[in-house]
Amino acid sequence: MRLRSLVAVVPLLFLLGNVGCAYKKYSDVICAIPRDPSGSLYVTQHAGMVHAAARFGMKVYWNGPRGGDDTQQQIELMERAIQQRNAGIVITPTAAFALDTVIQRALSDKLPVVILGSPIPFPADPYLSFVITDINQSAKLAADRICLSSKKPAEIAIIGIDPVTPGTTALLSSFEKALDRCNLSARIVSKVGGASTFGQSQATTARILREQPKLTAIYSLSSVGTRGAIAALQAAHRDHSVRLVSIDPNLDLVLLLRRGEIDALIFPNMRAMGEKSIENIVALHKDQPVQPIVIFEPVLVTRENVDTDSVQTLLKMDWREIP
Amino acid sequence: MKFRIPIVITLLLALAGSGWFLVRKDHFSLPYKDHFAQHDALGWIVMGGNWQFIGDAVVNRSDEHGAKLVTGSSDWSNVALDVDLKLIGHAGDVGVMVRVNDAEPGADAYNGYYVGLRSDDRALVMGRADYGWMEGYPTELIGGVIAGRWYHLHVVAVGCAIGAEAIDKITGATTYGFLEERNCVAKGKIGLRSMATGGEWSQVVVKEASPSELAAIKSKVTFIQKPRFVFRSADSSRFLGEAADQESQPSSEIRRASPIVSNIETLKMRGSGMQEVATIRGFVTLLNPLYVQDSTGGIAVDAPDQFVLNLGDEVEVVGSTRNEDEKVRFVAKYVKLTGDRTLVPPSSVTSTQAAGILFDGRLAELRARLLSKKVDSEGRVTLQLEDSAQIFRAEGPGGLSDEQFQNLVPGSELRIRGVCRVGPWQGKEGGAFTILMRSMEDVEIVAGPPWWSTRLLIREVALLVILVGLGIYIYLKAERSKMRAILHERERLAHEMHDTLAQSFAGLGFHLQGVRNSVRSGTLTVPAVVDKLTLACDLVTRTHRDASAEIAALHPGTDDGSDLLTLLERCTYTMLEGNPLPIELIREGTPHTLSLAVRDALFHVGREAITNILRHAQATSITMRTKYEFRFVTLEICDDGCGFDYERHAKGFGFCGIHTRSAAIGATVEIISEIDWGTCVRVKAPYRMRRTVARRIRLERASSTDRIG
Repeated sequence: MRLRSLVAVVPLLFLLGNVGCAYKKYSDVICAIPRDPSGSLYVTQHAGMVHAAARFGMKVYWNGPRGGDDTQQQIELMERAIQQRNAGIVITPTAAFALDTVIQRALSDKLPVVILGSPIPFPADPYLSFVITDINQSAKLAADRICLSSKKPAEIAIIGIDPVTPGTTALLSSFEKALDRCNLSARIVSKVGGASTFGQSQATTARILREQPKLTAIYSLSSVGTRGAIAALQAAHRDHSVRLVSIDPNLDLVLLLRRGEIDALIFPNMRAMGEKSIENIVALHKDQPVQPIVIFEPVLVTRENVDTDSVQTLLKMDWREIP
Repeated sequence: MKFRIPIVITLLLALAGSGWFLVRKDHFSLPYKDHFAQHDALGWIVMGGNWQFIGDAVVNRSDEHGAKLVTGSSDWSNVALDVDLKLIGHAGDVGVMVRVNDAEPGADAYNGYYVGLRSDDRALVMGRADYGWMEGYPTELIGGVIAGRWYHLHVVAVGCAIGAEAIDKITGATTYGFLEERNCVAKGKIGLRSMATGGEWSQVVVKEASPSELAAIKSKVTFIQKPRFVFRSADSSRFLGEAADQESQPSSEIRRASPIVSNIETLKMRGSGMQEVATIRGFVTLLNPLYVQDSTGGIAVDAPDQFVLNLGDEVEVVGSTRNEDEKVRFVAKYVKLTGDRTLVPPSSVTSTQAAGILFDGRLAELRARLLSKKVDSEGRVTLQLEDSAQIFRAEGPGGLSDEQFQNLVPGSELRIRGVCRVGPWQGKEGGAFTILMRSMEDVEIVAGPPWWSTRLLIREVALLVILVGLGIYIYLKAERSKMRAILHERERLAHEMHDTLAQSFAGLGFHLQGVRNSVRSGTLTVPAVVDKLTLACDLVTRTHRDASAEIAALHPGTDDGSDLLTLLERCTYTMLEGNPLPIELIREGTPHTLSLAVRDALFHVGREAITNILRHAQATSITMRTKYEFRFVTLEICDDGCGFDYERHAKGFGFCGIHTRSAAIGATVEIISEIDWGTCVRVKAPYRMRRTVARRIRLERASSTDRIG
């Protein structure tokens, strides 16, 4: 009888043990959802995340929209991360408000969420943190560069304004203030919004160039807009007289910077931000305190400093641990 | 029984194992060919893109990043993949994947290798994806990568090396590439993939590859690539937009005539009254028919066929408007590609919003219930849908396989994406507007049909009625059977009582009548009376003993689950009522669990035999034997009594009961008796009663014969 009981109980204990071991509150995967997973700027973020995750024995799942700022795809990926009980979510939202519901759902499940890049208006939550670029500093760097390199009085156009993109309004406001501080005679002569595409941006810039013959600088808020602007400047043969400063940089824009077609690029430190986002998630799992907002200063990249070690580290895209 | 459980477990395990194998195994074997001639890409998994068949090719007409079609076995290791392909569009790359694992929608969302032709740097590119991208140094393609031109790609993967050969099918120029990686992906599926442009693939052949094939390619390359991280700005000249001017230039007349770009909504409001040439700029949201959308709205564009566009292309269209079926269309004289890779996300709208003019021509997404579906001879799918407010249609090209269409069940809740074309009213079936789907990928099943549809309810109720009827029938049948068994048992008891008690009482009556008659006539002497009364007393004693034995056998506590022989021995002692009679019990073989029916029948047969022995045999000993064999159990009751002539007494001594009970369990009975030697009753029964139809008939016949007898 005793033997029989033993035979019955041992497998049961084994089974229960296995189930117990298999059930974990969270997996060891952190879901990262950038705006453009194959964009070079975001690949530097991927690199930072992978290296930090490796330190903590975690993995990074990297995926995002497959073209265009498709918010729906970001929502679907977030839903999946919640269902699969990922250890956390790092997201660069394509829209300021559209992801609120799914973010709230993740937070309700006590899933750490890190908003990376630009802030979005969202109530404070112990599981929510922001790892963002200093927008004021970004605007100041751009304004200072324009003030430094433009003739006085400066006439400036701002293109690629996408009000849906988080932080755009704050960035514009900061830019105007910074511009006022550095050059009181500087004047913003045109602000162009709407979806930023190569063709539209080219056409818009061409129109601005026609309408503003004294234009001295263009401040571009999107990489696609920057490329369109360059095409328009070249077509109008004003690429040497109009300075172009751009945020939202990528690998291709750095090439244009080297060629002199762009005066300066403002680079967010995506690599460091990626690392910090992982550290935040791990800290939350260890019940350690996490700063709700961590701000990283952007870097002004010009032809003079593009080959320095610090900038090249920023550009490094070693997103994978080579076995 | 001892062997059955392991056998059943083994069979179940084997069944489960083979089921798992069948589910897991993807049924692909080498060589594998797909020429797409049947227009059925069964076995290919679609991951993004806008796929369709054109001729003998499968085509993706979308600028989506990393649109994929995946097929094959996850166990394919050393393979040679041949495919014809061409790039549609001006920038991006098209190619194939080998050793693909964990693939899902996303730009680099797979683990494996990619070999493709990239137009940006006119190169044969090879690399490794692992939810990110690493590539070898691109090999410049001789003659460049020209959109619309067919190339043949031969990719050989052996061990941790991949060789590639790209042949320009017009010039015959061949370019080779070779990539090696330590700790490589050893096996996986294959796939077709395009990055940020459309592409066309045909004649896919996968074979087992040999090292010599790889060596042949290796001998032609000047350097061996390793997957490396894309590094530094100076290395790339992609996406600069130089290619955007590749389309034919407009005539100077048109250029002069259309200096201002109109927004689409304004153009539509001005309608066909506008005769002058206009220019619109927007993104391609649908290819057939062509729709272009800007930030204000969308419009159908009649464009000459030579403009090959993809979804996500940004175009500048010069032309004029015209009215058709009360709808404004834009007739293009010239289309210029100004950019690409901008896939317009659909606007989520309600059906009432979609039916309004605001979303006419725009890419929209809405949820509705599927009412009906049909597919025409050309493979175009039409769905009739409804929600609480509107009935509408969705039309589009069929999927790559029938499976997608078949999976759509009327009543399902669907999410539909496509360009909204409003009016004119097309009757109850057509509704107020039509959603023009880009492909079957624009249909997503949100939830299956509800279980409570009227037809389903009727079917379920009918099934329930049939089941209840069947249940009642079975219940009545069982009750009848039970009643028959009770009657049968009652009949048997009547037989028993007739054979024993009634006859004994009759005999006793005769004796007492004889005594009374003799006493009345005064012919009987006292000793004779005493003799007769003694005889009568003996008869009473025997009858009492028989009655006790019967009652003992019928007592519900008789069968307490003991061994059959023990049970019979106990029954015998009860019948003997203290009289000594040696009983020998013999058990042969390993005791086997008997079914209730078999055990009961054997017990009653044994008891009948013992009753006969005690009543008639004048035996000095009884031997009871059970013999357990592989499939049968044999019960043998023997005595050393006076024996009898079986032929004469075959109908008596309860033998009918013995035969009937034995027949009921499919047992055979053997009765051997010899005068002055003794009697043996041997019953051989199967462990479990198997009631075949023939046996049932036999049993019924035997039972009715007994009753008649």
